[in-house]
Amino acid sequence: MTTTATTLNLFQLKKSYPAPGEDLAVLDGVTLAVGAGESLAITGPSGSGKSTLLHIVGTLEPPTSGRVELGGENPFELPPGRLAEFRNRKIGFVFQDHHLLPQCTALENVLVPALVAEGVTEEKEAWARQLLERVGLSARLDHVPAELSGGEKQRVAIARALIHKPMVLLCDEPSGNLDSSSAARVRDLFLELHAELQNILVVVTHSLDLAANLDRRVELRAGRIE
Amino acid sequence: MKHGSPPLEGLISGVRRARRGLTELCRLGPICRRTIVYHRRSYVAVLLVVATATAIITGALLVGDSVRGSVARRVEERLGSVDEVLVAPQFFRRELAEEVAGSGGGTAVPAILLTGVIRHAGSDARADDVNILGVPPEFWDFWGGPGELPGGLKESWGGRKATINAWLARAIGAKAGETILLYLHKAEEIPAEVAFGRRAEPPPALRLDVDRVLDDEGLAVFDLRNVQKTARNVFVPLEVLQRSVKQPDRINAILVSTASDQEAGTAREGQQSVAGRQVLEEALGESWRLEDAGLRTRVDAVRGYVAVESGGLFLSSEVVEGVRRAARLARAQSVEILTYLANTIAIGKREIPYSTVTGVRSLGDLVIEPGGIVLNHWAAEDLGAKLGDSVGLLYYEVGPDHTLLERHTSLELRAVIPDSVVGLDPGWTPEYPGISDSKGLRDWEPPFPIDLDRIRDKDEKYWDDHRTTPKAFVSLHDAQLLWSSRFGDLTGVRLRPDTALPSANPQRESTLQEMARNFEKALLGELEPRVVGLQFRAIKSEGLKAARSGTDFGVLFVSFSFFLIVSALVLLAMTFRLACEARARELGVFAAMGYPAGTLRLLLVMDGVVLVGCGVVLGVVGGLGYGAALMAGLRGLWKDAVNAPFLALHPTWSSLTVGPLLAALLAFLTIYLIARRVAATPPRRLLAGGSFSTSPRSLESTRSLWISAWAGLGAVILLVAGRFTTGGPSAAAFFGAGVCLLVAGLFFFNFTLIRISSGRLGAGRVSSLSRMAVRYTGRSPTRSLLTVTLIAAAAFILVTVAASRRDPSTDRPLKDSGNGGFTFVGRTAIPLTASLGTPEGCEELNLGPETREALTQARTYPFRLRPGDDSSCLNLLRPQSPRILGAPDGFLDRGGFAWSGSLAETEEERGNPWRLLQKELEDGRVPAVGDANTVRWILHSGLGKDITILDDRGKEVKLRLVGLLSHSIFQGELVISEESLMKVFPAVSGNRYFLFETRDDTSTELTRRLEGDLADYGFDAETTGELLASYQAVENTYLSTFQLLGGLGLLLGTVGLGAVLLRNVNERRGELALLRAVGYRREAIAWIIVVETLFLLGVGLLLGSGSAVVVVLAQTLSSAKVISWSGLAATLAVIFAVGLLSSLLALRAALRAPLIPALRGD
Repeated sequence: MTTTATTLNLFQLKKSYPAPGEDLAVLDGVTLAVGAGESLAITGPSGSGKSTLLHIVGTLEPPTSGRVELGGENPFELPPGRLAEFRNRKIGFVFQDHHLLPQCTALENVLVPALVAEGVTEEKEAWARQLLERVGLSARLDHVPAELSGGEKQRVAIARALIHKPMVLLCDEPSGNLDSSSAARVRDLFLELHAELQNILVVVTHSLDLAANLDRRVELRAGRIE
Repeated sequence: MKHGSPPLEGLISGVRRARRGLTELCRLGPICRRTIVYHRRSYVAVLLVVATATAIITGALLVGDSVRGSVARRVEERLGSVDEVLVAPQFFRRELAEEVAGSGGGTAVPAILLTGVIRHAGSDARADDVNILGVPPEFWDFWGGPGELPGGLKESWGGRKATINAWLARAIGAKAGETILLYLHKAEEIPAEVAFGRRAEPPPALRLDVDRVLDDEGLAVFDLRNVQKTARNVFVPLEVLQRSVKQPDRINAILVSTASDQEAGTAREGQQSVAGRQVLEEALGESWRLEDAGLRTRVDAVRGYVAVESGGLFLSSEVVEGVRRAARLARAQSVEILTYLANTIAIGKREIPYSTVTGVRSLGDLVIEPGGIVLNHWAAEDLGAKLGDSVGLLYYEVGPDHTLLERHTSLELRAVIPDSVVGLDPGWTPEYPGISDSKGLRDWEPPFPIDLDRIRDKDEKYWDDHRTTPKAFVSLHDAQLLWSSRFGDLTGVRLRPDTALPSANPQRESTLQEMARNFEKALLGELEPRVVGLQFRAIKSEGLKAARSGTDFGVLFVSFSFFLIVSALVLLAMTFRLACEARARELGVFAAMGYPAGTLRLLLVMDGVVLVGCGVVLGVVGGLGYGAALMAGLRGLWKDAVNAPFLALHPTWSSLTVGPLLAALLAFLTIYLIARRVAATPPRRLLAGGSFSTSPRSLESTRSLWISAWAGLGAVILLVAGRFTTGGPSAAAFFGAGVCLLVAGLFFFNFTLIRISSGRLGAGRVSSLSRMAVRYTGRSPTRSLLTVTLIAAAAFILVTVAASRRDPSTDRPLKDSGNGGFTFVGRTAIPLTASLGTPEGCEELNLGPETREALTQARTYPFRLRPGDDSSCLNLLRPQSPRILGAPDGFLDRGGFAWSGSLAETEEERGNPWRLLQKELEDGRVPAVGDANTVRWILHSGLGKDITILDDRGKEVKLRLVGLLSHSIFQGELVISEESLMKVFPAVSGNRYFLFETRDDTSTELTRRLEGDLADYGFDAETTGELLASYQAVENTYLSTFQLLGGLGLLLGTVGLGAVLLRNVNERRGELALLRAVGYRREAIAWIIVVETLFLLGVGLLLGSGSAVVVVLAQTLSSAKVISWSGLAATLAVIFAVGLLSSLLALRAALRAPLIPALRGD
């Protein structure tokens, strides 16, 4: 099967974990394709394998079997160093818990992915400032996470995920820890930026409201797409 | 484009990698800084542990520096500016010192150095083994500090008075103005062990008033021995001592300062000025005279010869060789003579008492063949002799243990010589004080028994007419067979010119005088001064070398601290791991952002480098404090054992560099290993804040079980090996078995921990709470394992050390033990030249009847002692010239003692390895036996190896170690056979060391009586138990230190336990809060935490002490060692209590945590 340059393709992904007795199967042959500029919501009950799928797509862990292709490249065939570079350049993460570095300011947090790539260039810093402005935090550039609210922290996390204009933006319950107004604001922000950057947006969520605002929705049940 | 060659490509790629690394460092620097500041709380713990490890290693190395430095300073202090010293066995001209100095040999001071016994005239308190120094005022110019030379000491020097040091003053309770008695040990010119030597006479006493008591500093502690013990010194004006020993204007020592002030600094570094040494030796070579060696020439113009004789009666073989060579150079013919005293010359019942007999090859043209005897006319007439008669000779011989034995020989009368100039010559007999200078035969004052009733008038008449003229002549061959001794086999050499002598007397005399002068000059050229005991010793550089090459306490303390260092590193691993765990999610974010594992590792390593850097700097300061504390501890702990109040901190740059570098390296490696593991953890697990394990738990569990099984097998093999070996290898095998058992236990615990987390809760309330607590320990197996490892290692060390302590003071005398079955050891300051084992000897020594009676109940073994440096662990300096004992044949035949190893080849030798000392070895090596500990740790040698010493003539002699004793009473010396000792050190006369085999109930009485009767000889008795206990005191000090450091290790273990519990409680705040929210009482929560603590503590103690106890039990079965089980139990109880205390901190934190925020997870 051939793939287009900006498409995310998953072929028969399986993932299981060793457990006493029999291995625990979490994903059971997930096949999926998402095109550039497309947004996808993954829903499903707890334990259905949503987060595991997201982690495999984000190259944080390899599948037990099956293939992942992004832009025609299987990242799991890359050597460890190149895999990290791949992740750095092509994938952006937004976690349910913001996972900001507590010792760094908002601006520094956004620039963290740039640090390991080409370093903090003037261009990158300008883009980081622009991103923070877009998420409404231009006045909070020098604030450390402890000085930000939950919604603000999540917005910094979104800006950080976009610093390299990634091919894929992966979000794991991005508004799960937020109140409804903050959650709505974060949702709108996602959609705006997605529309602007035309990348692939994959969101794991329980929020039907958020899912309804995305181009497509798939539901995972017992490790399979229904 | 042309490609570069592979090495060039490698270089370019290396440079690129370095540049990338540098760039990365620069990029990550700010994050690193922020991270360290942000995580300062967890990092402070890491920093403190690094500082602790640095302090431990640096402090231990500083102990080495400090012991070396303190001892070296002590050497400099006690020798002042004395660099070289000449101490001769005989007295020589005082002018020699001035001549040596005048020839450019530096500043030389004449002195008499003797040893002896001092008694307080009032209290009768006694001090043995005291240095008695006769010195001129200039001696005090050598004072080198640290204190100032007491004012007026030099200026007021003189008169009949003594100055003593404080150490001696304390020993006998003397103060200035009080009177003391000095009993001197002075070597007699004629050795005591020649039949005509002066023997068994109480030493002369010198009565003096104490003028002043000097503090124990500077030259007040002057001592030539390489020991750190403070010498007991009494200083007497030189002239006073010269008069006392009847040696006016003569001395036996020259003290020299060769170095200028600038050079003195160099000498202090152990580099004696070679040029100065050379000048000194040349000066001595040019200045010495024959009389300085006790040699003299006598011109007999009437009989036409020059006689060469020795004040010591016998000419040594080296001197005889020199005389022969010199005679050839002086164109003289030599006639060799051995004259002896016959108690009786008899034919049948007719006898002549007390006559000299001379051994010579010929008398003019009359050659005396072996087996024959020639009488002079007077004797032949007196005995009614005719040719062919059997002439009997009775004479004295020194038998074993200094007994005088009267021997008999018969020779055939071959000739009677007429009264001629040749025959009637008293010059055949060398000058002999007490005989040759006495007016009549009845006025003799010989040092041997004579029966004056036997002397007839005609004998007196002969004496009046012919003095010491021999009445009989035998062949030189027979004379040497009968009367030669280890001191030589000639009593004189007569020289005659090659050419005919003028007949006129003045010309004859002048010709002979000239020949004598030529001969003397030739002899001085042929003899090296060292063969007659005139040799300088580089005492200062020798002492400094001994100070610097003694036991390396730095290495020793680093070894002692091994477990403490390991504990610190385990704690470091634990604290750094905990810090990393606290950052796990943060690291997961980095990974998710595309940071490769190498960069994550670099981030952690950068933090680590900063922490290690800061910790090391702090640790150096701590190390100085720790080193000072250890030195203070050693001053206290060693107070009684080695008298080392002078030990002080002497830091050197090498230790202050090596210690921190070593600590930094170890800390960095530990941190790097943790960082590598953390960085290799899958990002998802990091994001989840989970464990850093990279392999599945099931795999770790199986691996742990295998390691445990292999280690267990290793323990069994080593236990069996330990059972079937002895000495050091056995101890090493048992210790290895213990370590293997510990490792096996720890890995089995790891295996259990992995499974424990999935165990079931019990049915009962207490049971389920307890199981819940135990399951918590399995949630983070590595953390729990590290904690248990810390506690187990400390427990292992403490129990092993506690079991190693010994108290030999109460050991019963057993022939095959370290005491050899002997009850007590006696030593004298002045040698005994009469036997304690015979009634005659006791008579000579003037022992009381009760003492004699008590001695009949004991068996005594007298040893010759060649004084030297103490070779035991009580000496902090490396012995340069070890003390040597000469064991008598009776002792060697008796056998006994516990052996660590020997070179025994035959069954007989294996049964009694002492017999090896009686063997002849190749290349003139002398077989020797030493204590295994002494040989290994102090002399740095081993079984089958050689130790080189200098004999009496300054010649190198190799002692081959043929046997090693185990924990014996001979830890301070090496033992060779008496026969070997007399060959190597012929100047050693008498016995100074005695072993007594007695019944327990008689030993106290016997020692008391001997100490009383032999007080003037400085007899001092010590039970073998006390002696062994004094050696053991040092070993016990090491064990105490080891135990102390093990205790500190336990403290670190407790800190680790506390840290882990706190971390566990912190992690489970929510869970514990939930338990409280659902109705668990505080007591139940407390119970969970206490059980968790007890579980880890109990397992640690059980594994550590259990492994140690197995080893101890195995050793006990193997060596019949007595173990103090109550002491062990007490030690374990203390460990348990201390460990339990650490849980209180965690308990407090858990119970004080506010409920609601904890439930919210804030």
